Amino acid sequence: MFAQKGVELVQELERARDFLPPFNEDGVRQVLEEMRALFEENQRDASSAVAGESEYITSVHIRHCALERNKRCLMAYLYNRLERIKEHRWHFGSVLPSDIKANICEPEAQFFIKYSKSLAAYMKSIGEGSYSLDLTQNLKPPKNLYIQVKCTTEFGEFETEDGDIVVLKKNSLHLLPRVQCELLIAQGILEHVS
Amino acid sequence: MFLSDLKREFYDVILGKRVLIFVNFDVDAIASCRILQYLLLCDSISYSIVPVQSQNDLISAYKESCEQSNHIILINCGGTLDIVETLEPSEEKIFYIADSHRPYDVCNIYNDGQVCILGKVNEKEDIPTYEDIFGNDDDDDEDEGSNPSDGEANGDDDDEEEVRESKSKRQKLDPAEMVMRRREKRLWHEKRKEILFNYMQFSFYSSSTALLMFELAWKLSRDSNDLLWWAIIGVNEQQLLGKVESKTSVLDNGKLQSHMIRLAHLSQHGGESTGTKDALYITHEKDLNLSMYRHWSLLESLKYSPQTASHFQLWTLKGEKKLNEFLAELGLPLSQCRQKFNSMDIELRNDLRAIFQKKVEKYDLEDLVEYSFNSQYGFRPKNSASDYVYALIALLDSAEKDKDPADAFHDALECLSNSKMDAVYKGIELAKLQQMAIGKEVHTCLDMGHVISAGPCLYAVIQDGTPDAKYYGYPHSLLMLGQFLLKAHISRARGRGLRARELPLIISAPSASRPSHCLLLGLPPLSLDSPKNLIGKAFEQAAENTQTEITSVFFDSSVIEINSECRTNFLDSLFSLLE
Repeated sequence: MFAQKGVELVQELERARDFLPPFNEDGVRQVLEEMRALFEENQRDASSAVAGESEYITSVHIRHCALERNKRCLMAYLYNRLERIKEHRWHFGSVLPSDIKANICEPEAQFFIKYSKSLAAYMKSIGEGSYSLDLTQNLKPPKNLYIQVKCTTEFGEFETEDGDIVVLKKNSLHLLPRVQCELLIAQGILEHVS
Repeated sequence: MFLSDLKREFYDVILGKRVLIFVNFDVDAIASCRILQYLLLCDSISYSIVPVQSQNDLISAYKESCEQSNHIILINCGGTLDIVETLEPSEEKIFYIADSHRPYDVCNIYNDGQVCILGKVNEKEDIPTYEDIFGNDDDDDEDEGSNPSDGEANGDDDDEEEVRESKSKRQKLDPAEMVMRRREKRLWHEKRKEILFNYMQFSFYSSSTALLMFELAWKLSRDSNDLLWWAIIGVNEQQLLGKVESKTSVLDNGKLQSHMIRLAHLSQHGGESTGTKDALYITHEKDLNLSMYRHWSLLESLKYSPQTASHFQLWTLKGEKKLNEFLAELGLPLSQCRQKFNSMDIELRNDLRAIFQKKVEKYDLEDLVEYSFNSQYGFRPKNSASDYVYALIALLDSAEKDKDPADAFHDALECLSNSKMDAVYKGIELAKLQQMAIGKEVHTCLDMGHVISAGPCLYAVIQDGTPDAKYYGYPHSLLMLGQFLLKAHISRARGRGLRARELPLIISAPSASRPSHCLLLGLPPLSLDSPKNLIGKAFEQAAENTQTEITSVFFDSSVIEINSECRTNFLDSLFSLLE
């Protein structure tokens, strides 16, 4: 059956909804091969059709439909992968985790770098003066700008962006701006308390 | 300096700044801290909270973290210390004190701006007037300079010239007048000493800080049922541990009740259709005054509640028989009473209060049925405020060798968030163990005659190595043990009881957090009916006389920690002082 491989590709992507599956190079190649075969046959039949044998026209038509369908499947596959890669940029920032990196192919990696660049350039352009707005922060409106954190290690002094000094002593509780805590929470120095 | 308009003079000032909060280890302080946290979160005021247990803790914690902020709030600590002298703060620091410990240090009261006490002046506390304490300080060169307070420093600058002039004049005065002046001054000093002594003699508590914080929230229109419940817990702790006079607690309860009605009214008519599932209901109703009976079996609760245990003298065989008789008369089958309360017959459970109510008069147990605040989250089982207090105390007093006291503090703080019922239940389980340990210890002490009358006071020493000592080797739990023991001892000593009622009790137990140290706690005599306590001052004096080092001084001066080796010596000196 025509165009089965293409549909399989799309299905494969659809099944892995919440992660990016490895780029299926083999599948893509098979689809392209099928398309080439179809095209060559079509060209042969088309030339004979031009010569006057009108019975080939129907089969040319069917092959052409199959070609179109294959093209659509391939486009859908590639486009949706790019959409996911864009999503990852917003999620993980400009450096992708290694497990995701392993699953993308070279042109996709280049797309990612270019996308990162233009996003960064855009973020720099908004905001006034030397400030730039980090659009990737707070994708949803936060309930509170401040969160309550508990310090789990003796960290010592920590200076916030607005110049306040906070002494992060073990077992002390603090209410701090969310943005500034995130890194420390990721490092395990602070703990979020509800 | 007292700040009576909390919103304008306190809250509006800290708005938008960073604050540093020191919180004492007690339930009232934790409840107030929770309310304050909520308010600060609403206004995005960034804060840091540091729990402190003793005066030394406060001093070291202040040194470590004072750079963070110029606005420092002290909750249930510091009011009784001369802040300026103890912490030696730089000039731009401002302290706000919300403390239920009394008496306030006079230097805090008359400090001009740097130390602010939240709350109104209470007329009944007999705070000495400024003139009596710092009055004629204009010639304090000859004074010992005993009170270098800010109060005298300001305002005198302009007059300095005059003073100098008048001084030079004075030297030329005739000898008779000089003598008169000196005599006057000596008299004034004597009077000052006496006034200060009378003022500082008793340590006691005023009404709860949590209530103060709740009223602040109310004035900011941020009050809700959750906040009210925290305030109720704070007030309830003071009642449960007998920290305040019954008059104060009745007044406080009245205030809480009117807030409760107002909030209930608001939520009914405000059109706010919050789902019944997660809403917090608070009720004020007559309830059995038994410790944690909703989470225990009725029999055990009766057995370990100080009041019923000492009334029936449950440590004797006869007492147990009497209790069974009581239950029989109530019509409660023993098999039901032994069950968990939740598994009792529903009819018995629903009518329990009415059943008790009928017979309390006959058994002279009127205080067994009392008004109390109860809360309910959605459809979950009901809890009374005292359940929470027991749970919080047990969690606070659960620090061990491998557990930092601050961890215990956070556990307790966690209990006071609405969704954390598991934390509360964990606390209640711990509290049951603690109550049982206390009950058993009282039993042993009475059986072995550990409560000894030393003439001016009763004393009981719990020796090192007592198996359950880890449950009461903390200030709060020891206080509960002491009160239970005193009550039980007096109920037993019928004939000599009259005398025992008038004696204070000194109780000592090995400290659970520090090996080879012991805690000493003084309880005022039962007959006084007022929780004013003079033991704190006596401890101080005795330590001075015997040169004993007090290793931690708690904010409640009637509890101290000393090295176990010095105990005998210390007690001897204490008894001779109390004579």
